[in-house]
Amino acid sequence: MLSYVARRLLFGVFTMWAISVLTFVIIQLPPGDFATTYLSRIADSGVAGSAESVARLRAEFGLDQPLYVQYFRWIGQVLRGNFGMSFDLNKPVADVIGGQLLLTVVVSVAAIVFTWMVALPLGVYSAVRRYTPGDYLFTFAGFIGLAIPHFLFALALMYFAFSWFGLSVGGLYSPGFETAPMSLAKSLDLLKHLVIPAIVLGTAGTADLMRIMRANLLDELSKPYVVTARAKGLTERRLVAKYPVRVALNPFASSVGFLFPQVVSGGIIVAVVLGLPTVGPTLLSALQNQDMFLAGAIVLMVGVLTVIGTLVSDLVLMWLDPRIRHAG
Amino acid sequence: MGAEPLLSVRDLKTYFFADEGTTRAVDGVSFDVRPGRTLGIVGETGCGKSVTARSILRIVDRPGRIVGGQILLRRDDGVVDLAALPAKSATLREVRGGEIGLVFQEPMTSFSPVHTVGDQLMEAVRLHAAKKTAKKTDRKTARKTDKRDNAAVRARAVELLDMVGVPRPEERLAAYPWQLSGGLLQRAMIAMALAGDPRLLIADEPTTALDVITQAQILDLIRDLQEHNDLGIILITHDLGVVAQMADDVAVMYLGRVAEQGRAETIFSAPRHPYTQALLESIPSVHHEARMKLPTITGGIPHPFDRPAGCAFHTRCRHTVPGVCNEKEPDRRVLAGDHESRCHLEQPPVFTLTPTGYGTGNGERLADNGSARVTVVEPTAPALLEVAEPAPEPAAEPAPEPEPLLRVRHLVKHYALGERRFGRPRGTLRAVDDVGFDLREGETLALVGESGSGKTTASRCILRAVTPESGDIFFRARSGDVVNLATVRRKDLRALRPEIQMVFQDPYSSLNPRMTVLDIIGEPLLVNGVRSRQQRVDRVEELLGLVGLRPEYMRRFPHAFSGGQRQRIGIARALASGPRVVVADEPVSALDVSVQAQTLNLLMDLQERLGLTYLFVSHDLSVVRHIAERICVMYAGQLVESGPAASVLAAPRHPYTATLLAAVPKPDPRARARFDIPRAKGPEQTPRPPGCQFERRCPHATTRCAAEAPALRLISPGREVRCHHAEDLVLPVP
Amino acid sequence: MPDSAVMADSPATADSPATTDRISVAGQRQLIWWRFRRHRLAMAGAIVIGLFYVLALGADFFAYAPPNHTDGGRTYISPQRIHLLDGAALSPHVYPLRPGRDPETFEPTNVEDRSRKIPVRLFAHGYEYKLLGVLPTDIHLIGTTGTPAAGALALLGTDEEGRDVYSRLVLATRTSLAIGLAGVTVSVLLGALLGGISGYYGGFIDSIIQRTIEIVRSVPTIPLWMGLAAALPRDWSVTRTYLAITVIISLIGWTELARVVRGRFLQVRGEDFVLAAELVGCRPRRVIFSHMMPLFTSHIIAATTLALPLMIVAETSLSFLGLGLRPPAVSWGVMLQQAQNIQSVALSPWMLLPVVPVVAAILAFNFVGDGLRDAADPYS
Repeated sequence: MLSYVARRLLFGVFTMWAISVLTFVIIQLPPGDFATTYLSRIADSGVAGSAESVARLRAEFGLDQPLYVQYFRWIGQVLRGNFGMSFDLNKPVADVIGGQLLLTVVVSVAAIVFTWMVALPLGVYSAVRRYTPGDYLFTFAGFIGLAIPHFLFALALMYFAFSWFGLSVGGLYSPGFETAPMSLAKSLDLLKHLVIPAIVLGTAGTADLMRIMRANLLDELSKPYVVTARAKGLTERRLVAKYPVRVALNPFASSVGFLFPQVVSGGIIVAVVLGLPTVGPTLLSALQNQDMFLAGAIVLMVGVLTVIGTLVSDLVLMWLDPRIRHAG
Repeated sequence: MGAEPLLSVRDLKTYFFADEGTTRAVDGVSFDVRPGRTLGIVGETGCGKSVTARSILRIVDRPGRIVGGQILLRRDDGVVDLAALPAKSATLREVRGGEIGLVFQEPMTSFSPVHTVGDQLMEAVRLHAAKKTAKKTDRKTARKTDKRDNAAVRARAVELLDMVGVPRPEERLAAYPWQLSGGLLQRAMIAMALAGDPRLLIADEPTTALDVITQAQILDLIRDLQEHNDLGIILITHDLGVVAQMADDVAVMYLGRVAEQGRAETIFSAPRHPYTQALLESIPSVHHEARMKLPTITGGIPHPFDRPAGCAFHTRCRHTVPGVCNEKEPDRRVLAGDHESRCHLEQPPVFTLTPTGYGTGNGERLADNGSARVTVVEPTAPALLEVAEPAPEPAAEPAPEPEPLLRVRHLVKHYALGERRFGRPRGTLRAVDDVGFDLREGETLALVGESGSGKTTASRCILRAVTPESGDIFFRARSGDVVNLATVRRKDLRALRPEIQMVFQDPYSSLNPRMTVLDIIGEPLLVNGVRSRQQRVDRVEELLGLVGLRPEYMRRFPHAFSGGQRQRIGIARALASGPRVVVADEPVSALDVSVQAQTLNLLMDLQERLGLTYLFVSHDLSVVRHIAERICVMYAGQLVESGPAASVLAAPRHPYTATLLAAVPKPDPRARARFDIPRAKGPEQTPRPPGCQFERRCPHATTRCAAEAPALRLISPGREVRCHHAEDLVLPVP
Repeated sequence: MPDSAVMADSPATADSPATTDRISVAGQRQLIWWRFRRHRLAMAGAIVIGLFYVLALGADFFAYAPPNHTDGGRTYISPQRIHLLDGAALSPHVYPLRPGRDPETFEPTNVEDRSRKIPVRLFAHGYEYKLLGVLPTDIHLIGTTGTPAAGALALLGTDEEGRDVYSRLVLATRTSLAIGLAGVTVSVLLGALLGGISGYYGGFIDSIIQRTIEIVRSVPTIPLWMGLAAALPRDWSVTRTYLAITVIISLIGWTELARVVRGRFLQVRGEDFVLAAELVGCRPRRVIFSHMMPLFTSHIIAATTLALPLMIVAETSLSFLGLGLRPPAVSWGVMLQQAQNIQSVALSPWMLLPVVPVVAAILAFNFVGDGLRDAADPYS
């Protein structure tokens, strides 16, 4: 069991490293380097740059060094919590994205909780009452849910809320709370505003998970151990809840592993549409403005969050499934 | 009949409704089960025996439904018709587990993998303990006692496991199902079925998934439990030997109906229905003459959709009366006492096959098979064995044997255990551990053993489907050269492939579903240089004729054939390249009894006509006894005994062979006896013990056996045994 | 056998239709098709996809206005009405339009200039194009006589620059489906290759590829796409951007395909008939290509069909954010980019119309993919 945990941890660290390399590649991709970008930005603002200042900037950021040296410099800084400067906003990157990351996690977790709360009962219902009108309804709704991309769903929802109820559903806080310090009232307000993003982000995952749950449970329901339990004289309800649902729960737990990347990544684009104060809009504008330290930091942090989410789901799965626990 | 029946099933009908049509899985079945007696329900694939069992407990899966009949169960408070109860009725739940216990075929899948054995067992205990108290006291106190009585429930669970012979029961409660062996799990399954103190036990193929020795132990256990608890038992099986050993009454089913039922002795000695007769005749082990052509039932079992009109068996029956059997459904005919049969024939066909006499009413059928080679062997063997002499030399074999076709020496194959991590396995399994034998031209050599004994791996090494770690396999090729198959290079191996071919166990997986029969059988020809399509077509036609299939079939795809027919296609493919050696890996174990006999006949016939040499891999001693001339018995990767078939089977010299033989259920109710298989002294050890591999399970083991590994020794001409005490042991003779 | 007489006198070469029934001689492809046909949703999906591709192939024929034809005088026209009858006679026509607002509700309304009738007809002459890229013609499915259709028709309204939404939608269908197809092709090649290698060689190579797949799958895709797409130089030509975007979106799809191929490979490899083929002396190449490959092509096709909608969504998402295809290219995502502003959408809801083909295409591909997957396995 310990070796399993160790293995997962090791793999998580390895994945994070891979993501950091990818991120670094992305930072490096745009033509020119930060220095030229920075200079052109300064030039835009009317102050003329000089060759010396370019050289100074290059030396400061190690831009004249070979790529791998630059990578180690950068990752070394990142590990110390220094993500560099946002040229565009002229602020340390950490200050820009700190709060946004927290809200990103809150929105993502809310979406996953929504997914589970809906997918579990509907999936179980669909499997146990197979081929009933309810099953057909949920299955069909699942198909639709799966087919609508997050951002289109958000767009449609906003349109209907706006044109039918005159509501603006964007944002995470009511106007009065945006700058207010954290308080109970503010948290409640946040909770209220979380509903729409959670539904939007959770729908595709819900549909997916519902189908997985239904298929798994149907598989499990036809296994001999279910008949055994039935032959013992258990009531149908207790039987289904105790055995097949319990077994079919394992893929459910592991679903965090693939849901989390999906939700975080879908969240970015949904946040743009719904105007949520998460890292999404910031990433978009950073990319548009070639503010690469900021963009890189966001990609990296989102990746790290995902890896942590996956790791947690692996550990939960291990805790749930004795076969993994004992396999070592 | 004395006791009132515990359960009376009357005209039970369970149909499955699907878009393609309605399958009448159980179509008018009636029988009685009495306390303390065992009813054996026998039948081949698709006869509806399992559906019958499930119908009784009302646990038939959708789209199946009971559409008629009564299931009358005698309870303390009178008789209740289970078929008439609503699906969710509380009575039904009380009956399940409380009055009727159920044991399944696959112990591994019959337990939930994520709950401990104890959890599942104690649940059964609690369920019915609670119900019984609830009747007396009010529910609230019942629940309270329930909680307080956790320790009592646990104690009862331990007691149950102990009763079914699970060693160290307290520890087992915390184990997960996949941590226990199949035999232990099946015992736990039985304990669970008995947790509610049922009066009736339904065992649906309870031993089919187990090795023969474990099967014998489980059957003994079921007998003991019946004796102690006065249980009524319904034993469902396809194995006539198991029925003969266990059942008091027998019902023979065919396509959803009971063809014949009665006392076990009557059914086995004086069957009236042609199906029962044919079924009994097709068991290899009732004929003591080895390699005799087996009487068979023609054709295969029809698919339930294509159920023949009239008597369902008429298409395969030897005694069909045209105009009657194919038009009118036969009625139940009571013959004598409780013996009844469903057949139109006024005078039943003569049946003289008796387990002692071995005459047969179908002598003329056997006689016309001129090719059947009959090698007569002493039917009984001396009880004690200083003898160990080779079987009487068959006249066909002249004295000095030429160079064997295949000489296997010191063959070793290891497998990595557990998941490989960066190339380093966690341990090794010695699947084949220093095995050697000869295969002589034209003979049939059987490799015998339980699952995991290494027999299949050894045979795959000879085919070079796996490459052995070390050892030699000398093959005398057609060219006259002797080639070592263990080390031969891939390129040279390909040239030898046509000479050694294989017949597979699974007739479904062994044929490519995307190819026509012509392409399948023609492939060996194509890759070995027969480029002309017409030539291939001609040859495939010839091969199909050889295995008894019609040439038109060559345009069809495998999915159009039954299991038996597919096996014939597989045999034709093996023969296409004109092999000299055919490795047959359990070629009949996936087939129904009636089809099994056809296939064995075909194999023997082909050997005769084409002069083939067979290496026959099997776990089934009755099949081996029938087809093999020499036997190699394997245990834990080693050869433990070898010699002429008749001699080894009549007078085994290794305790393992003797145990194996004792465990085979004989299809004769009059020769009924406890198996009394010695239990292993401890668990199997993963690191191999230094001494004899069989020491832990051997009833004759001495201190020497634990310390020193025995060598394979020649104890008499042609007989080799791996046992320190081969000469002085007194082994029971089957 | 009841008809053993037939056996005796019929030569094997003559396949007598009386004895070989349809199903027995049906190949796997035939069986899959029969099973697939029973899936009603999958069949409906297949028809929808078929229509989509017809539309994409003849996009210029189905459109009537050049996609980037702007007209400052015709911005935000709502979907136009075609008058079918002229008095009692069947004579489809439209009136010239000017955009307007309802003075009370501010709802957009079209102001019809009733003074002039513009007849509408099928197979009318319009702008010039090359049918299927080769045949120069100016015939369009629908058009007007007299005035150019671009200035007269607005079947599904116009956008802020007065471009015709219907025509753009038709041309966007071509772009979006093509980029999906291109992306999936790259994915399939990559996935089948790596999955095949993984399954065939096993061991260390398999471990490496499997871990790589796990890593790629645990990286959040959209930020990655965004990062890569944003790095594309702005001055690249439309075609170059197009190719680059294709590569970027296919970077994700291959993992699932590789997984499917590897899984099937391992499964099929364990089948007895593969061993049988080796034992009769088939060379590895023949074993793989004649015995194993045919068994998973249907699975690859199913997985491909299921991967296509992901590609389409990817392109749509990126273009929607302004990081994917850029004008003058027209795709569903590019068109939806105009719908980002909720106020303008609320006033001219037809800007949301590209949502319909996106959802329809995704649904159709999913239905077909599911149907194929179910039909592909005959014995499951």
